[in-house]
Amino acid sequence: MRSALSRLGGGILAAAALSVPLPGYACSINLTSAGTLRPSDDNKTLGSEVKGNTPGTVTSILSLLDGTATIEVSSPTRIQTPGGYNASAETLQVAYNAAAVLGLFPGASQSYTSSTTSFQATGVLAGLSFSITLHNRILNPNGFAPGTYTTRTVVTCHP
Amino acid sequence: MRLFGIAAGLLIAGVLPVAAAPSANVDFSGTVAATCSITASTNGTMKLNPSTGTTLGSEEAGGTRGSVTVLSIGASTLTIGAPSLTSTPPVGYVTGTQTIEVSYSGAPSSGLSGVSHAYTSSQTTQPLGTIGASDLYINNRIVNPSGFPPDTYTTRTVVTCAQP
Repeated sequence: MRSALSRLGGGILAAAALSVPLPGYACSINLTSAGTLRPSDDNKTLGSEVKGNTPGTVTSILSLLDGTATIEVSSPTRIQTPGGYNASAETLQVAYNAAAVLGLFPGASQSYTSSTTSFQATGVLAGLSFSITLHNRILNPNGFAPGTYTTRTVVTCHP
Repeated sequence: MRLFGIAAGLLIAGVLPVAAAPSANVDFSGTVAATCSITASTNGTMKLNPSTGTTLGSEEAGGTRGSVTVLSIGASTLTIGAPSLTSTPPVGYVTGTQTIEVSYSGAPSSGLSGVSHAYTSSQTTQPLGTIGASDLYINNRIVNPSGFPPDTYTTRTVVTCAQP
């Protein structure tokens, strides 16, 4: 009897577990290219749109299973600076443009901001694929000491 | 039953993994090179002190200061040369009694805001670190107790920036 109850209970539990929808994390974010920063002539801005255009790009793919997903673009962080850099007055900013897909996705854009921002996109049967072009910049009236600087923006898909 | 409870707990823990939301790190890198340069300059004008007639300077009424824009990335030395008279003085002008002087100060709220020097006839230097492009205001004056015969007088201050 105990054995039979155990088998019955196990079956119910297994069925219940299988009926719980799996987290819908099928949407993907793939890095296409990293960006490049350059200093301005007055050494007060270091950015990917300074004296050229060298953005970072990612590609996002959403399927119908994903439903409406939220694409979150984080505020940028500084992950590498040279010694002697005075960061006390700096401002890090990100801007982006998500390319529209005719009839499926209206696109999204964000001017330079220091905040985390997001937009929504809805998956389609054949899979919605669109690219996001991002720019980073650091503003600093104290200037940039010689050396290499790296900033990072994290793009996340939340189904 | 106790055994069954343990088994069920393990089962639930096994089929509901917490998945991380997919994401990508987008990195931007760039290199700033050490340099020091004078990126712009503006000439000043000098006026004669109407009361004494013995000082011709850019801080007299109607005169204007000159300026240079300095950009320093890394350790640098800014040299402000002793001013000189570059125009040919008119007949009757007594050069032997003249004193040509320069003073300067950095623009407020700029990387040169802490840099200044009172009037001097000597060359001076200022150590700099990394700054954004900043203006240095420059005044010149000629003091001559012998006075100034009518003519145009021109002085020059040479500003240079160098790195070790």
